[in-house]
Amino acid sequence: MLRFTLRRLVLAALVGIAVSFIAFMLLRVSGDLAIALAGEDASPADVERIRQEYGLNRPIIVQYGEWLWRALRGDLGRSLFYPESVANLILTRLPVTLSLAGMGLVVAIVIALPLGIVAALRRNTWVDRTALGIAVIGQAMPNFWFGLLMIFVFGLALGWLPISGSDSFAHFIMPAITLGWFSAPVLMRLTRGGMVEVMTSDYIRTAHAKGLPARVVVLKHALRNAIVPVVALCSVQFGNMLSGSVVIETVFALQGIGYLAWEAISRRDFPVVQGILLLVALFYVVLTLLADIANAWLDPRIRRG
Amino acid sequence: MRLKVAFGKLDAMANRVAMVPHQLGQGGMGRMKNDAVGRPSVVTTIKEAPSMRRLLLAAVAMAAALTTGMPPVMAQPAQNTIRWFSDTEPANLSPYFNSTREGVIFGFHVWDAPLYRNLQTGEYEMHLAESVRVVDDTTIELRIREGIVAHNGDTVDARDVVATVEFALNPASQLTNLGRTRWLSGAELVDDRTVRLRTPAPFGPWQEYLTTLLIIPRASLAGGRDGMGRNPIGTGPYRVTEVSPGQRIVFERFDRYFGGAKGRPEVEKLIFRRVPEANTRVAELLTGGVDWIWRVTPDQARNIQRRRGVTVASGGTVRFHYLQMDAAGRTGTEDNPFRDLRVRRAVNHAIDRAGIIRNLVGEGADLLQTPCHPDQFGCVQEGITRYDYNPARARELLAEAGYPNGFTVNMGGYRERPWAEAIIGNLRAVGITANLQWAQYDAYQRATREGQMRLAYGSWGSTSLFDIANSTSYFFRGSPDDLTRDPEVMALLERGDNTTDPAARREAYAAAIRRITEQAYWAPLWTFPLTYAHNAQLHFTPTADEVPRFYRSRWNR
Repeated sequence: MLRFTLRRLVLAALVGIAVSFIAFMLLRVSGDLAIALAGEDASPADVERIRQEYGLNRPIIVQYGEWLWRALRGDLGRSLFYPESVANLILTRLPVTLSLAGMGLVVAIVIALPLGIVAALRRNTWVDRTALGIAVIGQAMPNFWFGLLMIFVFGLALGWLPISGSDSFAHFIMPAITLGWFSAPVLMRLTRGGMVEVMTSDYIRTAHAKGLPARVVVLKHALRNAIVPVVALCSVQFGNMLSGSVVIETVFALQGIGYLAWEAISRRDFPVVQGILLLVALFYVVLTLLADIANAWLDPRIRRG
Repeated sequence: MRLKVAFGKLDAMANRVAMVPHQLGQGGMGRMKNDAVGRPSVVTTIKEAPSMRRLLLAAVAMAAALTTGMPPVMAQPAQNTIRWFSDTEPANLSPYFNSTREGVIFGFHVWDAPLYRNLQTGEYEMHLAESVRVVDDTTIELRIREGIVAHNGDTVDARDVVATVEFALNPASQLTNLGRTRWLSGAELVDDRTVRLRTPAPFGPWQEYLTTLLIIPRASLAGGRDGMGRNPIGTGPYRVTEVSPGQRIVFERFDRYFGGAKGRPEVEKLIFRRVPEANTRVAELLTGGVDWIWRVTPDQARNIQRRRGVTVASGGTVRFHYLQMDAAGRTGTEDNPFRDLRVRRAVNHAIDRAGIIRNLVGEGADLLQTPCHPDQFGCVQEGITRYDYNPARARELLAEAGYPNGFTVNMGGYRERPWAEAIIGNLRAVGITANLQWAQYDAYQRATREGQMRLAYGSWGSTSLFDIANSTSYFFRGSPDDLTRDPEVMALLERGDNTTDPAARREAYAAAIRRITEQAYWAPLWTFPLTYAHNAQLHFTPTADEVPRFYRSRWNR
């Protein structure tokens, strides 16, 4: 297990370096940082002065090498725009995104699991079709549109929930439902597929034959096997929510990592972009690791290799 | 029941979106007028195909209509606080380290400059300085007012002016906003209250630039870029008491403020928050979550102005839009139609500027005939060549120039895309096929500067400076953004920029502008309007320079 974990950590470092290198190059060839720093009304002389003062006239590979050397020593550098270190900037925004993604995942699971189970148990009935319909709607509807509908109904018309910001738990309810609703369909379909397959297994028939109550058969014996791929997918979905919640953060004015990343990319604040990419890459590796461990716990066959 | 009706309407609109492809620039129909009490109101009938964004705006608007039973917009007079939301937050609050419009507004409220431009009279008034004297063509002497106190309690005097200029001119400071000090070459202390500013050459618009030279107390300068950003200290009517990047920025009234030309503020506290999504800002205004928003689109303005407790008002800006043509042949002289005066005039005649303003740009915009904003010093309107909307004449001119069937050209652009597409529609009507090359600003600017742009649709804010030294001179005095390179124009503008006598400046600028319009080097389009929406109990007057003065605002109690 230790060797497995170490291997994963080395992999994480390599993934981080590869991602940061590609991102650095793409970001630098896609636009001119000196112009972005100087602003719209700056003169060419201003832009040139900034280019020299910030060392942007040096070869890109030299600039990347400097960044990497500092990053390897734990220094992610300073933002070119904010008066903050990149680490501090990320740490300030991370709790918002973690809260949003965590609550979004809970919402997704709460929607997906019951619907998936019911759809599998009532296969090819109106219940199944309704559940599938909900899944299709959830995936087809753009999340910014759904978010604004939520604002329209619960913020404006009913006045039940705050519209924007991250001051309290109530501020996260609409964003979390929006995020979770968008992620639920894929989890629901996987749950349904797994349950359909498991429910036709011999051991389930045996469990029924032994006279076990249907609740125990479904929740203890069937679900435990059907949920294994769902757990793996949950980790991926959580990673997606952490890195891809920019639209939700924009609509609800949540100041999280997603919005920070979008802002940093559009400004070409490359130390911040690099820092966030490293973080997201590490998140994915760690989440995959955690999913493997969870699956091993759920399924003894995996534990035994 | 109301909700059901609203969703029914929403479905109908969604069907329209599904059926009608989004063709921007095909002509919304809108107009603005004053209501019965003379308050500006927006009466817009949009006929262009609704985009998803418009649909969302409609949703918010319908919510406004539905919520008449809700409590009226909650007012903030009791707290004597203005909460304002905008889509952008300056990453660094120091006026020398950000170039955002919000940063300019913060600058006006937290810091002060030697002079202040009175927007009502157009006169320069003494502010931090109690007197200003031109010593010679390259030296300006400032006598700083006595009793100026910084937010940290320090006394501010001429030494702070010298320190600010030296800090700004030092490359090690790594300024990102160089516009405030690029005209200076140094500062010299005469005594504790007197300072002499040096310019490298005679500099005509020095008074205008003295209104933007924000003085940073020495203690704050010591903190450098990051220190100034985290803990901004100024002398202005408001002091910054909380900086939570991405969360909020709080300003509190500075009770030891000297007043000067700005006067003492009435409102005690300002709370700024960034809310990037326009619909969310409107929703917050309608539910009382915010007191003041801006950059309200004509659609939003139309929809919310009927709402009880909300005031919608429009104001001008110094920003203007234009179409640049490569008359200099920087993209090549072979097959370059814009080398021909008749083609450039045809473009000017082809664009229905009044129609686009009426239908898309909205109230507050004015039709532009000059390569500068009419409110800017030197932007003369007399004796210039004007081009009316005349597609038939445009086609004649193109035929005379050897393009009876028109031609195809790439057109660059980076903002207000629907307006650009409306222009393309006008050009197509006379035979010019303009393919829109949409890009981020830096890519657009790089293409222009590297001579890759034959036709460019742009926008210029002049950093809110009311002098054409920062607009016409920038675009026609040989800078990399100059697509004209006319030696006669360059010489005239240089003469205007490098003399301190206002009459001589005006004369030189007038000749330059007449030459530019006669040669139709640009197709000037329109001035850029700005629409505000705020709590009706807030007394707020829009200004012409895109800088809301909260220190002049108050709550009606």
